[in-house]
Amino acid sequence: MNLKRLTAPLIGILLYGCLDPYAPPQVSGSSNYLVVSGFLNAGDNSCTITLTRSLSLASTTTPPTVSDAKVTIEDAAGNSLTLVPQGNGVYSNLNLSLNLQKTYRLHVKVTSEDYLSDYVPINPSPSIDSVGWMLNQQESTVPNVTLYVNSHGTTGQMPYYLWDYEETWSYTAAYASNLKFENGNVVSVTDTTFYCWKTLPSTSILIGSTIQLSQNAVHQFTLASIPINSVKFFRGYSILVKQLALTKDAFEYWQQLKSTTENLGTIFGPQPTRVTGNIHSSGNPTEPVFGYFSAAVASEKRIFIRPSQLPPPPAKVITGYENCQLDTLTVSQLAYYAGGKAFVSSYGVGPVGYTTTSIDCVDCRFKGGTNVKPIFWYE
Amino acid sequence: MIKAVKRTSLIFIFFSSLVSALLAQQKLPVTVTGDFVNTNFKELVPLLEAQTHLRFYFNPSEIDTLKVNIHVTGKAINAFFDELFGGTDFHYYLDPENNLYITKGIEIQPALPIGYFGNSSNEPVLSEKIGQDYLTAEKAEIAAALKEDKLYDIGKRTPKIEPGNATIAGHIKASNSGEPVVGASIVTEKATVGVVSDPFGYYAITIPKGPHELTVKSIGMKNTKRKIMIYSDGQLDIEMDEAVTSLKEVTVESERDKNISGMQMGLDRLDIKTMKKVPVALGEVDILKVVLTLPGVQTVGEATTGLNVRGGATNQNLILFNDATIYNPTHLFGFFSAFNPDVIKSVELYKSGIPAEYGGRLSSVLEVNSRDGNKKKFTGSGGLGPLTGRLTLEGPIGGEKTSFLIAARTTYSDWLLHQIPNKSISNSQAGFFDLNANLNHEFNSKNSVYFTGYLSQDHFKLNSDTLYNYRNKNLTGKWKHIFGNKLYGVLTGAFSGYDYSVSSNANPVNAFTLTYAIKQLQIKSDFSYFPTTKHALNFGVSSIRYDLSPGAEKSTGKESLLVPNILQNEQALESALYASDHFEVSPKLSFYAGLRYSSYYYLDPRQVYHYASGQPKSVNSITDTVNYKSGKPIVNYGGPEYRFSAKYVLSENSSIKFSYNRTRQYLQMLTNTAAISPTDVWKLSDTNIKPQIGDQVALGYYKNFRNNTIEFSVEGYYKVMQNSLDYKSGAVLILNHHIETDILSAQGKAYGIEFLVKKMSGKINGWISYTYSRSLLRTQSPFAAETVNNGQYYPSNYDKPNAVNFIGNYKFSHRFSTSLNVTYSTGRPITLPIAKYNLNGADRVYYSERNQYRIPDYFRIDFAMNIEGSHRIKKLAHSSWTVGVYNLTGRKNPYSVFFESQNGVINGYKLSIFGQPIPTVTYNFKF
Repeated sequence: MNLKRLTAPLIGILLYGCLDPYAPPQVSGSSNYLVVSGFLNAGDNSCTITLTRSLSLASTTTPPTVSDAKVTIEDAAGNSLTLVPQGNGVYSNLNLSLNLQKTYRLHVKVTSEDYLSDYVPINPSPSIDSVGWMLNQQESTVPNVTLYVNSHGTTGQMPYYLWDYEETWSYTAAYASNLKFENGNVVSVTDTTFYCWKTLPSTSILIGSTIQLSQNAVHQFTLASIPINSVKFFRGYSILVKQLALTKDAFEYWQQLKSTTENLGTIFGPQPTRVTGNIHSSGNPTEPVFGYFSAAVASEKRIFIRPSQLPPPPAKVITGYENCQLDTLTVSQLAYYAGGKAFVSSYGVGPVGYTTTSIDCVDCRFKGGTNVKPIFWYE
Repeated sequence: MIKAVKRTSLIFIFFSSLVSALLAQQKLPVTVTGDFVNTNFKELVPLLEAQTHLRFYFNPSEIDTLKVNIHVTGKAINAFFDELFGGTDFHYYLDPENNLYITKGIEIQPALPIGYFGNSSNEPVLSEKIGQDYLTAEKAEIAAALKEDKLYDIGKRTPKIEPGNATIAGHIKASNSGEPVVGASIVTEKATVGVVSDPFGYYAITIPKGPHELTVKSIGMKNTKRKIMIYSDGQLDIEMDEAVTSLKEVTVESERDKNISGMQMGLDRLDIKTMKKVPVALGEVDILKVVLTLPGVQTVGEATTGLNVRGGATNQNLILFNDATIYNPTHLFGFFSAFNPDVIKSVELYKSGIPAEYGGRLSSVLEVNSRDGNKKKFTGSGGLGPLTGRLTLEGPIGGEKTSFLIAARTTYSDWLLHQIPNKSISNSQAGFFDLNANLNHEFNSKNSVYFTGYLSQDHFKLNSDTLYNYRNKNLTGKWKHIFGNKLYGVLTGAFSGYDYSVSSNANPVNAFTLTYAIKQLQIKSDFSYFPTTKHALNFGVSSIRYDLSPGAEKSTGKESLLVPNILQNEQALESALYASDHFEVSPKLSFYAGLRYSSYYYLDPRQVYHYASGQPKSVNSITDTVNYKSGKPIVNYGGPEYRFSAKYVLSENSSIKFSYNRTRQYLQMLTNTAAISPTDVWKLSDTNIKPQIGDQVALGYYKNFRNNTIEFSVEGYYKVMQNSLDYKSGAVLILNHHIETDILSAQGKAYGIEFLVKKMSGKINGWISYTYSRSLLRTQSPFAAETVNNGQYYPSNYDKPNAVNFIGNYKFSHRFSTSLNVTYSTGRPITLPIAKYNLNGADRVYYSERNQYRIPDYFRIDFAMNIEGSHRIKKLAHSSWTVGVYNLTGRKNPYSVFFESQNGVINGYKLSIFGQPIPTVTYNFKF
């Protein structure tokens, strides 16, 4: 029933409609509300909670973290389990002893304010059957790799699902560099910054329900769709999918949040609304607290897509290094111009000079990855 | 000596004798003496011939039932026959050679129009009916002038005028097509008494007996006059010439002084000719877009045709197409309206002072009437625009008593989409068609029947696998019976249906079809009674049966695991009884008082949820599920609806008017979107959702300048609405088995003031309006979950305080005219994000209280040129071109502003629908 997808092309092509960036008028009033991310995973008895603060819309800074809070998981009987501050607003405990039959709540104490979630059950969740992918061949456009998940639960299990994933891919710098300018000379070094691995979490809310089906079965739920010429597939790609079962309330919360922040602005799109979760300030019930505390037995699955499994991309791979260019420096110019340059190779006998480029074209870490190979990587 | 002649040959004989009569001498008048009691006319003739030496010519079959009761002594033959035939449709003509012709129906004229026989000028006589056979407009004009000069006798002729009043009634028709002229004003010479013709072209006016001159005016028609002598009640049919076909000066003097002398306030009447001049986006006349330029009418965005009239919601308008309700008046996402411009005759919008015969919606009545077919000749018309093509055929069947009209319109947007070399677009579909069929038959002067049918279908599937379909189906039958000059009645039966379906088979496991349907069967009977000059009464009954299938989701295909999800059917009966009187106290002061009593029954079988009192309605507060199947109504609502208006004429060209009306609405549309969406559902009032009640008072001042050519009006209103609908955050409206848990009952208030200056004649004509208005809602509930913005008043989605509209036409010549349309309004309210936060790695936004901010203001200029082909009457086909530019300045008016979290970053966007100038060319033809 979502009309978003149909209106955009209609307006765009048939009727000259257009979508322009819009900077809202300076919305007055500061914003400093508590934001609670994370959930209780009874699958591996862990719980990691991140506490941050909201920002005014015009703010360009990263959200401030809350590092001086006391965070506990409490059961209805009053027993509490403490999450240990890890810095940067992260609190975790990877070795909780939980009772799957009990309900739990999150208790956050910031200075003198108490924030409590509702008590939530630990949802028994089915495990992921498979994570797969397929090529969506479309004429005159670059094909997409569509990643999907299959799952099924028993009738007693919750028919509401939440997924999130972590993508990791291998990539390289634009040029390998085995030379370095040191003390007025160019010396050979081992290149350790040519190969990188980058990991990013999912950013959209991926929820699904099988309530309308006669079986609690999820069939090819689309997680992501990525053009085949993305750099993600250039040297190998991996996705780790995490699946949680939700209560109906939690499902409705995520659905509302999704529809108010991801599905707006189309002709028939719903109007935005306020969405608040199951965490409340005990002192000031009208104070908004963002986030929804859930508990579930999460299940995970990782797959790899190797370059050999995909057809050669029909279009040039977008590497992000499109602006990298080579320059030459003769030996006599070294003393004046070598600063800040990366050396790619030498030329001529002697040599006569060197080809150079900027540092970010040879150090893959500038693109946000790490040059340490992840332990799960297949190679 | 009796000469019986055939009527067809009578006229021929007539000519020859008349021509020879030119040479003959006029003889002295002859007289008659005798006492005739119940004498057969046939027996009378030999006696008269003997007395007078006249020769009588007549058709025996016409006079064989004519009985004579008369006592005369030495009476002149003319006076004798005047008395004998007064008040009957028998006529006589005495020629100079002492031949006396007796005719029935046809009247023999004593003079022939100048130039009738081509170059000769002095030749006499022809009947009025024959006069219409002239083939040139000039001659038709002379014929019209003759009609205007003639003195028509009304009623049975008496030697002296009896004191008192008499009622004359009849039909006003277009001379070229025989179609009724709706909304024509008929006023006496002093303009103290005036009436307006009804949708059948019928009028009835009660005035003192004696000589009068009636002036008849209508938009797009040439004014005409009739000199009448009223002896007693009688009939007078009046034909009007279309203004546009004339080669001479065209003056559109549409109901000039109606602004002042008319009773109705808050009424806008538009005819198709006015609407055709207004520039439109996609090259096709769109009546709803023209209605949007009227003061007090607004919409949330330009790609929609949801009307918000005086602060009311889009579902509070009763949209009638030939008396049948239209549930979705839009095509193709609202880019087109559901009405084919070629079949539309007129559009009337009642914003206040709603007459008692209308009910069922809170804010307005939009009455759209289609044309009857041409009763005189077979004609066709059509047009081609950038996206649509249309064709209309019409003409008489048999004689002039029956005519038909059929019209079809369709898009070729599907074909256009397929031409685009992009698979995601060429796989899309979007199109519609609609069909109109009208048939009317006049059995006799007292009985006519009218049938109209309407069918429309839309489909679209845009770069997705989900196919949307929706349909309007309407059928109306009307029987009009004239009981006498003072009373007539109309019996109407109408069926209205609307349904939609959404289907997808992209994922075989989830393949589904979702359907929705509403059916409405209405029968009503309306009477108009004109007892005296000072009173005009209307009364009637109506009853509507509703049947709704509020939603059914079913699996399609063998692989689909979907469990059918079907909402229970709903049914209800809405009946009403009304009576109203238009009472003219004095020429200056008149009142309209009406009472409508509506009664509503929500009917079983159905399961109804009961909710715990003292708790917000939610699934958790359901206390009981009651199964109703006993045949008794589940719940009953109803009550009086008062309709009152008053008019006081201040001077010859100014007046003030006041009105109050209460309206009740038992059927509401559920929509969570700003615009009308094809998947919106209509919901009947039930145990948990109460009917809406609206009260409006309005006061207006009207003044005309420069000999009534410039109209000025200012109207102010205040309106209160009970049980308006708003929705909880994140309400689910489709396939919701307990919809009442997502609905909020709101109280609405709206007020505003509207200024309008209008010039409808001359080379430059058009109108400019300014409106200041507010529309506010307030939820009232003890529970936080059932309130919005803490129970304070907040602007509704369509609260746009300032609005200015200008429509101007300049006519360079009869074949070339230009028009300009300028629109400005305050941006509509929206809910803006006021904070952002990062949750699970992605930025999200937190919204303000509902509707606390506004999108940027709306401004647009459109320009169009109309180029007509030559106006020669005898031509195979008449054609015209319309060349226009919509949104001349290319301003990117935001339709909406929204914020999206994309790849974890919040981006603000504004969506403009017609963000650049859009040129269009449309070709229209008529044959």
